[in-house]
Amino acid sequence: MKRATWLYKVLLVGSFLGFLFPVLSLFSRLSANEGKYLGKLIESVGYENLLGWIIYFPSWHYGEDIGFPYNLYLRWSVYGLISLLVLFFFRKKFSPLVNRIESYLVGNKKIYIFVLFAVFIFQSKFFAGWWFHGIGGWEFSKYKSKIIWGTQAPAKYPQYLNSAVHWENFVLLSCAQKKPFTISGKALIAFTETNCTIPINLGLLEIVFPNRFMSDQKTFIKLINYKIPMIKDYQSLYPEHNPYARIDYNEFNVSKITKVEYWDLNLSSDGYVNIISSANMKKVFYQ
Amino acid sequence: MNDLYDYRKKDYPYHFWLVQFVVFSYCIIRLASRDYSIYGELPIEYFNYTRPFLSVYPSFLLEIFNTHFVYWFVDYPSSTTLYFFQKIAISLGVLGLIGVFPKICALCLFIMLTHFTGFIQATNAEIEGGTLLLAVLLILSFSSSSSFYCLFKKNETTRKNDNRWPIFFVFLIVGIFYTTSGLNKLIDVGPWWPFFLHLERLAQVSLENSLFLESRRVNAVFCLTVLNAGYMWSFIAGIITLVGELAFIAILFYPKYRLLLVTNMFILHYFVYLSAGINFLGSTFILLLCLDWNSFFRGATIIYDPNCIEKRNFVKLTKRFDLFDRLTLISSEDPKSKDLVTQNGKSNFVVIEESSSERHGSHALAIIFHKVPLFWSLAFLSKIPFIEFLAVRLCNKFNNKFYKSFLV
Repeated sequence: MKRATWLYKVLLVGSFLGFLFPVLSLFSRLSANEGKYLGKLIESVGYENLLGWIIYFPSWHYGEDIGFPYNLYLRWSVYGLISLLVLFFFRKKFSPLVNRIESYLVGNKKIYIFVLFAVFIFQSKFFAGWWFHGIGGWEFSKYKSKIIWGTQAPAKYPQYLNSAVHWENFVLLSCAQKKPFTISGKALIAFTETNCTIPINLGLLEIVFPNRFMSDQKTFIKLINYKIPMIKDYQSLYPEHNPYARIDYNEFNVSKITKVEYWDLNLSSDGYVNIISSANMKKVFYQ
Repeated sequence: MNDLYDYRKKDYPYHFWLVQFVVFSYCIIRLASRDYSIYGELPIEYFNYTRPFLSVYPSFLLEIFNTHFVYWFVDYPSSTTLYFFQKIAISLGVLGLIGVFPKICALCLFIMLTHFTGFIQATNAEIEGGTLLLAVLLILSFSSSSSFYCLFKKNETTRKNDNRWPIFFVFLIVGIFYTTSGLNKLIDVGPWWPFFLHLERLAQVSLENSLFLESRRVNAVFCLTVLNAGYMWSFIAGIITLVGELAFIAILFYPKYRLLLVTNMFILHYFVYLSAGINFLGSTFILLLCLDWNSFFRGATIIYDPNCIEKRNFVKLTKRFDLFDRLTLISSEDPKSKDLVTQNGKSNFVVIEESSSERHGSHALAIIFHKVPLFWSLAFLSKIPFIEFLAVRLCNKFNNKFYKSFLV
C-alpha cells in the first residue's frame, strides 16, 4: 500500500467490503427470525448438517418482511471480488488515471472528500442515508399479464364497488384486446359512521410502499383514520414518490372511518359490455 | 479534457443564485405537499429496515448517516412533533429562498430532510426521490456565504472562485448519481439489460392495474402506446437509457452534450412516472441546474482576421446585436491579440470566454451564440448532436466558403 493514493485505497477497501458484506448479510437473513428462511432453504435444497450452523450466525435482521435477495447480493459480491482482483493485479495500469483524478480534485478538499465517499459507497454498497450507490437495475422480464381469455357470467355485488373501478381505462383495455377477457384486481372501500362508502387506496397514507401495513388490521385502520381528515390536502402540489390512482375527494367531508373492506374483483369484457363479473370480500378492517 | 468545467476558475454568481432559488423552492414544494407526521402513528416494530438495498450492513451504521441514532437515546417522535418539525422545515426553506441565513437554512434542511428520509428507510423503502436534493443542500451548506443572494441587500456580482466550485460540485454529484445508476444496471442484470428490460410487459401490467383505483397511478394511454410499440421499442429505450446514464458524468467535460443528457434523463423520469407510477420528476429541477447558465453572462473576446470579409461581416453583425455588451472584438492584427492567443497558427477566428481557454471553429461559434439574443435559437441547436454535421453538409452545399472560413 506504500505510495498508494487515497482514491486507490478507498477503492480497495470499498471493494473488499462490497465482496464480504452481501454474503454476510445473506447469512444474517438466514439466521433471523429463528431461522425462518434457513428452514425454507434446507427444505428446498437439503444439506441440513452442512447449513444448520448458520442459525448461530449473529443476525442484524429482525421482524417481518425481511427479503432474501440472494441473486442480487451474489452479483454485488462477485462485482466486489472482481474489482478487488482487478485493482490488485492491474494496479500499475490504474495508477496513472487514479493519480490524475486525485491530483486534480485534491485542490478542493470538500469535493475531494465527497468523491472518496461516493467511490466507497458505490464499491461497498453501503447505504449512507442521504446518499447511496445509485438506482438499481430494474427489469420487467418476469411481469406477466393477468388477463384470462373468456368472460364470466355477471354476479351480484354491492353497487359501491362500481366506484372502485376506473371504467374509462377498462374501455381502453377492452378496445386493445381482440377477444373477450377477464381480469382480476382489488378494491378498497372505506365506510363512514353514517355508512357512506368511498373508494380509497394506499396512497392516502403518503407512505412509500405502504403495502406491509395492511397485514396489521389495527394499525391499518388507525393510519387511515389519521389521514382521513387531511384527505383534501392529499398531494396537492407534488405527487408522492409512488403515487396511487387519483380519486376525487372534493365532496368527501368525513373525519372518521369505521370499516374498510378489501375486495377481490374480476372484471369481464366481451368488447362491447364491461362488467364486474365477480366480487369476493377478502378482508374487513374494523376500527 | 479541454472543455472540462474547471472548478479552479472564477465565475459570476448567477448560476449559484439559480441553484439557491431552485433548491429552496423545490424543498418548499415537496414539504408543502407531503405529510411525514404519519410516521408518528406507526408502531415501533415497523422500524426495522427491511429493504435489501438498505440492510447489507447492520442498520445502526445507516442510522448514524440518516440521523436516526438519536432514537437510541430518546423515543420516536409523536405525529404532532413531526407535524411541527415539517412546518419548521418549510419556514427554513422560505428563509433560504429569500436569502436570510441561507447557508444555515441549507444545513438545517439537509439534516431535517435526511431525518424524514430516515423514517422512510426504517419502515419500508430506500428513497423518496430526493437524493439529489439532499446532496445539493449539502453543497449549499458548504458554500461561501458571500455567494448567496439576499433580497434585502445589494448582492456582489463580481467573478469569484467561490461561485464556481459549488457548480462543479453539483455537476459532479448529479453526474456520479446517474452514471452509477447506469453501472448498477450492468452489475445487477448485465450488459444485456436492454434485452431484459421488457417495457412492453410493464406497460401491459400497468394498464391492467390501472383499471382498479386501488392501484398505482399510471397513464393508461401512454401504457397502451408503449404496449403497441412492442419489444423493439423497449430494447431501443433500454439502449438509450443505459448509454445516457453511463455517459452522464460527461456533463463535466462535454458541455456540448449537457442539454442532450439532461433532456434524456428528464424524458426517462417522465416515462417512468407515466408507466410505472414512480415519481422522480422533482429531480428535473436539479437536472436543469446542470446546464451552464453562466454562459449567458460571461463576456467573450473575439479575435478575428480583418482581411477576411465573411469574418469581418459576421463579427460586425454579432456586435450590432450584442444587446448585453458581452463581446469584445480584437483584430488579429492588433498587438493586443498576440497576448491572448497561443500562436499555433490553427485558426484566424478565435473566441476566448471568461473562465475558459481559447476556442476555434464551431466551438467558438457556439460561445458567441450564447452571448447574443438573436442567436439563442442557434445556441440551442448547437447542443443537439448531428446538427453541426448537418450544418457542415448544408454549408458545403449552399455556401461552402462562408462556413469553412469559420472552421479553418
